[in-house]
Amino acid sequence: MSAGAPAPHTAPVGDSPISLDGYQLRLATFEGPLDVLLRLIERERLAIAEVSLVAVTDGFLAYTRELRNAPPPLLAEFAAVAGRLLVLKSRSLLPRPTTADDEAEPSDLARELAAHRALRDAAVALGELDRLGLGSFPVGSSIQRPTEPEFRLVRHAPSLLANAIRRRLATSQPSRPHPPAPRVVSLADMVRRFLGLFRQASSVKFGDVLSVGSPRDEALAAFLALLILIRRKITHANQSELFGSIEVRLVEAPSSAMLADLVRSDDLGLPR
Amino acid sequence: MNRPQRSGKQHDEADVGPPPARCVAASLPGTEPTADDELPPLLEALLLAAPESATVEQLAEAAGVSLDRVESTLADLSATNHRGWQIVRHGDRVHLATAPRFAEQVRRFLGLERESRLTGASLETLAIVAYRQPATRAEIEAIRGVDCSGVLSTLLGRGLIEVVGRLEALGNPMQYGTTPALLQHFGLASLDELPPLGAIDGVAASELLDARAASASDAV
Repeated sequence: MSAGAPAPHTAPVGDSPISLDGYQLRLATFEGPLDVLLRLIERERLAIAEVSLVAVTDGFLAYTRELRNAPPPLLAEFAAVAGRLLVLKSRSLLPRPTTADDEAEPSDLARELAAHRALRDAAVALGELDRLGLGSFPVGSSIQRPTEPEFRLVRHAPSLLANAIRRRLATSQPSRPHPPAPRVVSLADMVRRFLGLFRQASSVKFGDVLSVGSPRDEALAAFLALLILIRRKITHANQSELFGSIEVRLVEAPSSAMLADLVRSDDLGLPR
Repeated sequence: MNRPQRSGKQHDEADVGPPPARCVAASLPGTEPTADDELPPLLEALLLAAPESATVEQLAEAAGVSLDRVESTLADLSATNHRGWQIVRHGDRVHLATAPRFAEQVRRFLGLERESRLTGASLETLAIVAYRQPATRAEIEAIRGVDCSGVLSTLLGRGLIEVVGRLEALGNPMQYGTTPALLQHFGLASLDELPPLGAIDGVAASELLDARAASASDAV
């Protein structure tokens, strides 16, 4: 019947129960026409024989008519079984001589159905074994490490989330004041600082421009400012020995225009 | 067919021919024949040490005894049911596994979840493969009456069945057989412990299944 069925259709036909002469057949539990036919026969407490198939033909046809949204390959199988049942039924209705073979041999459909029932019985027995949950574990089975629990998103109404946030805010401690931000010394500041020192003396030491305990970036800014002043020929620097003190001497005081130009942070001669 | 093949029978007939009753130890210099009372614990030791299922022949060679003695000793060991382990036979391969009555405790000890129950479609397909293996997809579908490609994939994925060969017929369809994992899943010591197939309207169920499977072969 279906050995070469082209498309898989092992999925349940549907979810809605179908009422059949007061008998509820839940489609989700059936996989094919043989299953339905077998249950119809069992409902009538009949043996699987040609006569039983004839007896349940009407019920099967009614069931087939009720099928909704079934995949076409499955519908075709139901139609094929219905066709075979109709042949059996019409044969039983029309008078015809009975041969010994007819009496002895059950129809193909009856044999098919008997095989299906045998299989179903075997599956039920296996299912019972499965339900017991017995298992056997071979030598050398490894112990599984406990896995982290999975975090799953759950549905919450927005109002619940809002209330949760309000509760949290109501009980939270006032935030501590942020620590003061570190003082930023720009290159322009350092240039100004150098020029301020030159108002008092024409020669200063590099270390004089730095405050006591100045951080590393302030020293870097001072050194860059010194380089800028040297490049603009405003100062001259001399270091008599390695790692020794740097003596900075004013060469030419900058004009006020040059000074204004110099302290603009974007015009300190730095690469852009 | 159609009871599952008895493991010992399969071994004798299919794999090594008529019962040879040969003593492998005779060809191993320096190997002393194992005394009768020492053979059971020796086989237990070998099976405990085996990294995977061992063949009866491997056991016979290691123990230095005949295949028949290994077979009969394994049968004796299998008959003792007061231990926490059982001897599992799948084809001619043997391994030790825990006794099924302790499944829950062992599962807890190993930190394993109980495997999900098999669906009706899976059980039917598994029953066909188990009772009349090897079976092709066409044979399975002829008996079940529905397409089985999806459920076969599921069972292959769970390792309960495997491809064991190809039928010498048009298209060389794949033949499916059971795996040792199937025995482990159900806690069986061998396929012989599968629930017996009954009879329908006086006809043996195995005959009915065979007839349906044969119709698929005819179609091929």
